[in-house]
Amino acid sequence: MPNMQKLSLFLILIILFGCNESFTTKPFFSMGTLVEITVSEKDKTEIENIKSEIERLSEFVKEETNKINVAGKNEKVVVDKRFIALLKKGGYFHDISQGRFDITIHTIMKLYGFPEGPYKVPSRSTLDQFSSYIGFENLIINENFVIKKSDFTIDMGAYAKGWIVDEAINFMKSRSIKNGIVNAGGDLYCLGDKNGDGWKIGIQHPDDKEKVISVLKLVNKAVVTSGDYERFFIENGKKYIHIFDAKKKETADNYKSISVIADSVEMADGLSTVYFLLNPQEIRSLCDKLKTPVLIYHLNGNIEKLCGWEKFEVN
Amino acid sequence: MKSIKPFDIIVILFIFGITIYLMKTENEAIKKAYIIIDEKKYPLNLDQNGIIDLKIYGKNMKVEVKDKKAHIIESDCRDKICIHMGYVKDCGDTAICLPNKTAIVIECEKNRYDGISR
Repeated sequence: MPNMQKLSLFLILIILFGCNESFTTKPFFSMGTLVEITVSEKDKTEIENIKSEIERLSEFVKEETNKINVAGKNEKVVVDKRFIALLKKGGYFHDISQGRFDITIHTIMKLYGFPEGPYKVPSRSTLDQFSSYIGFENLIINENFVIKKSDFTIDMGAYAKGWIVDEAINFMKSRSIKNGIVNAGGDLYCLGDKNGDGWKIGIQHPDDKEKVISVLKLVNKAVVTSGDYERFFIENGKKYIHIFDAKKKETADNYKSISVIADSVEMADGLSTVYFLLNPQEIRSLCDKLKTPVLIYHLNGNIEKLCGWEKFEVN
Repeated sequence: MKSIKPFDIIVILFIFGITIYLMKTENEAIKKAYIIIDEKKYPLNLDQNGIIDLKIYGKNMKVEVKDKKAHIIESDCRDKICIHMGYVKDCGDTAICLPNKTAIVIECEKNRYDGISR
């Protein structure tokens, strides 16, 4: 029965090419960026629910942050326990960066006009005055309340967006969604796979957005990039970017971009900023310890791949 | 030695056809440009050069289409990041104005990547 065998092969081929799941992407604006949710066609009725979850969490972070920012010195500020956990994560990033990463740096970043402009360099005396308020150690964190020991303001933009994406992914899992991507302005998580293959993710070239500097295949992994090329201004020939070193209390134009692969977006998000503040040697030893692959695009255009980045790359 | 039968030729032609189709869709993705305004997507014709004033959508912004490329040339936002983002012309390219909740994007039936980290 040779013809029967051939017919079977014919049918197998039709099944192979015909059963690929197709995916749909919905863009919307939230968390101060363009968020894109990708799910399979069969799950697309859940997109609105995922979007509502993201918007609810974004509002939650904004409200809790605001409670702390409007509070006076030594005032007891009651905040949600999940927000306490987020603040403690800020403490973790502060510790592993030896104090260079600090959520209280917002106190002086806002003087420069970050994040939304208009941008300007503040006067030396204003900077000196506000710099004295900075320091994560001035934030006393208790079980369900915090106390500010000085008049700082905080911003958790460096990793709260990542936390929200992680929560959105957990929400998707609770709705039995097995495959998809949540991409919040380049901070993204690849849930499951795409028809048995990894999700294909490009890392944008810092100088030419039509090019990528690396292509990854990811399954159940997060990748985040921090760069000096989108939010910045130049005054008197000096470039001021939106990443600040809390130790030096000034802008940190150390690299063109740093990308990090991790198991959660919160971690990848926070680490991409932490690594941005460290020198290459420090990055190497920390990424080795934390097992988080890193891609550095140096100011001179050199590309450095650390801690197993290549393992996730495809041509 | 067995001779090739007509059924063999059908199977070979089928496999050949599928391969050509997959290669074609991989390389010649059909590009579609859109302007996203407050979550609504409006098609943008890249074949027609000109300046589009987004005032009719309540945005003080202008988009220029030139030689199958588009870019934001005017915006009343404070940071002007969208203007710095330059032209969009290839699959997955975006120029986003967050304060105005407006973006121009190029989508393809088969995008080069499932996501871009930037």
